[in-house]
Amino acid sequence: MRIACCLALAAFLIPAAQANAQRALVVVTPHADVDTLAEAGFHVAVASPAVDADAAGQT
Amino acid sequence: MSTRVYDDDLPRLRLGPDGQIADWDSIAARADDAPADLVPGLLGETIGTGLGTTAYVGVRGRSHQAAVIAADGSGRVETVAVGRRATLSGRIDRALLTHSLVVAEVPPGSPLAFQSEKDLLVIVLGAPAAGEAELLPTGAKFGGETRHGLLTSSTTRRDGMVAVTDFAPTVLRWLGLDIPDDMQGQPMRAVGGSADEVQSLTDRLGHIKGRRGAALRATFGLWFVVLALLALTGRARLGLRLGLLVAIWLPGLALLTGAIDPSRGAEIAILALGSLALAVVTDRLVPWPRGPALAAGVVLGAHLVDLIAGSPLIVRSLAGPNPGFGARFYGIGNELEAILSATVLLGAGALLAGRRGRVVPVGFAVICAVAALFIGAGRLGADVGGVITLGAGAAAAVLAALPGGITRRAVVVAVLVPVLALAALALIDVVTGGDSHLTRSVLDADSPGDVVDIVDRRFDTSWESLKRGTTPLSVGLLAVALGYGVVRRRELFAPLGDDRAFQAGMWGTLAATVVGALANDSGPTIFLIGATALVLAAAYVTGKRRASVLT
Repeated sequence: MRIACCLALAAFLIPAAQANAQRALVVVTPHADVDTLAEAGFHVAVASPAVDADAAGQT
Repeated sequence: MSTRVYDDDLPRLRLGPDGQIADWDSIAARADDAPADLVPGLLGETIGTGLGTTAYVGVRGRSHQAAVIAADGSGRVETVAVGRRATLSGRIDRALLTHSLVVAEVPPGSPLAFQSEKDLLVIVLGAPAAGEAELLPTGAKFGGETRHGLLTSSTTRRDGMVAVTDFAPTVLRWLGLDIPDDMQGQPMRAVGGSADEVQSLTDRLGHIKGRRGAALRATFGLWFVVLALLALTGRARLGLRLGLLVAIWLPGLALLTGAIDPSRGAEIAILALGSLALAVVTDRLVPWPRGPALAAGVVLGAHLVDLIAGSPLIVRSLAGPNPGFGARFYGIGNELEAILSATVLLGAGALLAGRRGRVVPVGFAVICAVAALFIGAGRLGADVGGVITLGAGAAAAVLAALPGGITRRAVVVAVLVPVLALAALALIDVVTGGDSHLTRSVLDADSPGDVVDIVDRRFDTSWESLKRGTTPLSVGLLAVALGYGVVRRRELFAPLGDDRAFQAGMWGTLAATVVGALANDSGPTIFLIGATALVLAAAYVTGKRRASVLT
């Protein structure tokens, strides 16, 4: 009985958690330019590829 | 991601059908050897620890390099969905139903229309072309919002600019997960603005790369020609005086051309002719040896105002910290650090020239302290290396200017003051939330080993740049010139008589040059700039007007 209750609770909670879960999509594409992205409704920027301050002159 | 930090090229990634990226150990070893804090798989690992899942969706026959974004610490992606281009969109949608993070590699020609849901963050990254990547087009949509503008982050503090290191913290914050200390970036956020502003900044930064060297060659080439012509007419002293004044005015004019971004020819002409014209006017208006004080005062003032405004012009200046070259997006970069340190010290020496007694060392201390505050504060110049460089120069200048000569007590005080200044700067940074490089890299270090690692990386980077192109020859020649100047200092300083202020400025510049070159990761660049300033200062001293009398 106790196991059945737990399973029922889990069956109720898991889909609810999934429905409310935040998700992220990262798209890497060679043909994105700033204007195209802006027209598609994105906030836009250019990203510096430098990975670490020490390595690239930020002292 | 920049390939500059790696010794070797990234091997072509091979993604197995089980989601395991082949040769992950060699990828991790490559990252470990790089002079930067890189932890491959940290994003996927953090999501997994938070009970989330990751997936990679791609098109058969493509590189699948992007899969590395979704990999965990062992190089494994939980779900891989590789198939035909026609089914790509459907596979992305399906993956999003069951995964926290989906990474998709979208080939050219595919539409960029993605579902807009209130719980979905979409980040699009323009993949780097072959070779060295520079500024990458980026877009983000936070949930179901309809307005759109620009992206920014605390890493760059610049609207329309982010760093690739900001992507992972942005994803983690959206997913409600803690951001690990090992992640260097900061979450991206939306601000107002238009794509035109991004294009304008990108264009300007693109122009800087090809104009720096040309502007320097044209400016100092013109000075050499004028010097030769003046020498032929018996006025070589005037020509010798102009060199230092040209050098001091040049970064000031570079702020102006940064603001208007003229054509290449116009910018070089403005810089070369403008700095020479301002040098001539300065020399006419202000008697030797005080001319540098006027030029330095105006140029430093302009930079200080720009720093207070968030350095919008410094970033666009040919002397600025071009983000296209590295990782600094605001404040003072290494080139400007060396330029401004020499300008402060030589300008202070010129300003205090002719004065006697304690006012000279006190004057140096006060001027350098104010300048160090602007250069180093996290909310302004954010250049900790600059405080070390200028602090060393200030200490040497104060010692050289002491009326009673150098005592043991004076040496102790001179050494302690820059150290205390750094501590005060860190305190200010922590209190004001400046989040400068000092607090992020040194104060946040987990162990003394981390600090040693930072120092080790800096020497590595500096050493590598010393071996590039003609740098060894230039550094060698200027080192010989400085050595010669030190040995022949009595003859060199003879035109100054018993005045110690200008000499003290030069000794300070020498100390700043040597210490700055050793303490920074761009040692050769700092040495070349500081040593050139000293050679020009020596020429300025030699170019004393025949009738000049210090009062």
